[in-house]
Amino acid sequence: MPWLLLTPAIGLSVFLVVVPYGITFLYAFTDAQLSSISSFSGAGLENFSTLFHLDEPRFMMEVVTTVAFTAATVVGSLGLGTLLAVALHGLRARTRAVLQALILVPWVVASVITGYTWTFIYSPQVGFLNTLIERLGGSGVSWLLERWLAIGALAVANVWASFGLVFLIVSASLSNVSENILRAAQIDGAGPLTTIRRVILPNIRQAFLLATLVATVSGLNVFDLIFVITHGGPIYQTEPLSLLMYRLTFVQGEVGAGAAVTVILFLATLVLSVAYVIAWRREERKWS
Amino acid sequence: MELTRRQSIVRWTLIAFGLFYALVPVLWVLAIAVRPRNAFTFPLPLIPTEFTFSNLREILTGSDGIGWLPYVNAAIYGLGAAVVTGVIALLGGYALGRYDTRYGRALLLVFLALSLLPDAARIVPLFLLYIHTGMYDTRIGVILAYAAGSLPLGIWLMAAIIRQIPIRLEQAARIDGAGPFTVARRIVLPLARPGVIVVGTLAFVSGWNAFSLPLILAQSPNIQPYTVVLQKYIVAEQSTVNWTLLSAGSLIGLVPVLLVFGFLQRRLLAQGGLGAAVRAR
Repeated sequence: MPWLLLTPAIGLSVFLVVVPYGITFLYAFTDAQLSSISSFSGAGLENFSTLFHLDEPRFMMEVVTTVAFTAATVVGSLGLGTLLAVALHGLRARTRAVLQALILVPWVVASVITGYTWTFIYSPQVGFLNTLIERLGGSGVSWLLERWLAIGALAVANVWASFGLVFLIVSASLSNVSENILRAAQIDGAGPLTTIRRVILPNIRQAFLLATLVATVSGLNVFDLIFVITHGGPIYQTEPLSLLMYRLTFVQGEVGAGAAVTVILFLATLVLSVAYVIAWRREERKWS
Repeated sequence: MELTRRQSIVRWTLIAFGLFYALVPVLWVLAIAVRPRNAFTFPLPLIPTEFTFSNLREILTGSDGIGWLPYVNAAIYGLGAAVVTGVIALLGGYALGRYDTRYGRALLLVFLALSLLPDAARIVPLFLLYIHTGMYDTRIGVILAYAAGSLPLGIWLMAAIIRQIPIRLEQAARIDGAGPFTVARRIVLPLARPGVIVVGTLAFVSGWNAFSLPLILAQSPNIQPYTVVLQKYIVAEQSTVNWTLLSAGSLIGLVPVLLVFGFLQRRLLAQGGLGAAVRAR
């Protein structure tokens, strides 16, 4: 009986997740081209070794871009999401509901609309930042031209899109932290930061782990946002692995090489998830 | 918890910053969308002095606009994904929530892992599958791709929600002589409805919002959603961007999502949604 009910769910997941990934793994070891996608021959590990010998841009540069962008996103969204969740904790229910709704607006915005929105912030002509600076008498900045400034700007936009989920997860588990523990900490003379670090965080560790994992995986696979704001430019300076995967597969038509990047991204996601499950288990044992 | 004066200053500074960061970008898009096209003198005034709806009208009906069709397409994909996800997640979530076996738990973990795969990670695999099965460039293909993305989290949430429904109710109905279908229709369905609405809403929103999947899987212009079509304003020839139409088009895409979340906020956050999922662990 339970298996009958589960058949559609398992069927859909197998057909649309497991099978396509299987096909992609196979393609990663072929020389398939987009123009002749059904006729190809085996290429061994060639796709992977080509990747590491890419010249313009270097593969390692893209890895660095991806990791830096992801790390900035994770730190930013965990920090902001947690701080705001704590700041809103204990407010009157109605005030809190209103503030919560407003703070969550960016989280419900489509990631591609986030991209369009932030082009309106960084644009040299109609951008909010430069308009503000020029109104105050300064001169505008080219936010998206220099590599690290641009990656930082993209990370700020991505934090905007992703801190809401952290905020939600932490808020939900904060409501499980007993009011008495917090009061006890206060009586013992703990300030807000100490309270967060020593009392709140240990109590919501599992939720925090989950939030970290979600933020890391989505940072690693960022696509829409960068595709829209910089398209990986100028000259690949802000291109992460997911855009490389897109460009190789659909622009240059090298399906085999694109599949190889997909495999690499998938393995990175897998490793992170396994590490997370291990950390989770350890937490569970510690507290039970 | 009582706060000292300093603590409450810190608290409200944080909240003010959070609100500024969260809302200014959206308000800025709004400020550009309602500006008449001849009112662009640089630097722009921070708050527009003239207002017009002509940009919004232009995007839906004008010759430079994208028309209604891209929005209709996005709605079809969102609703299709919501129905498919809602039904399948209810069935699967019931099985995993009620029959708490070892395999069930392992399966739940697998679904949780699957829900982590973002859209962008799935574009190449789905493209390769669809090319070989004839689902490439079809509406059904796009809907199923969304549904497969929303289903894992949907099942996870449904299982948590089903567990909150007391099994005694079902047993009592069985003792009173109700068959399995009557129990499903009269007991489970009404009680699980808030959960189904949450799962369906999340699926609708991610379908309405999706970009990378339809970018790859829907080639024909007449089946592309607005997220993909709006690009034409940004990758135009001399890298000039049609700011007014891009902002107006984005705004129209935003409104349904904000409305849906506005109406369902409490339900999404409280009993049905993430709260339940987090607590269920």
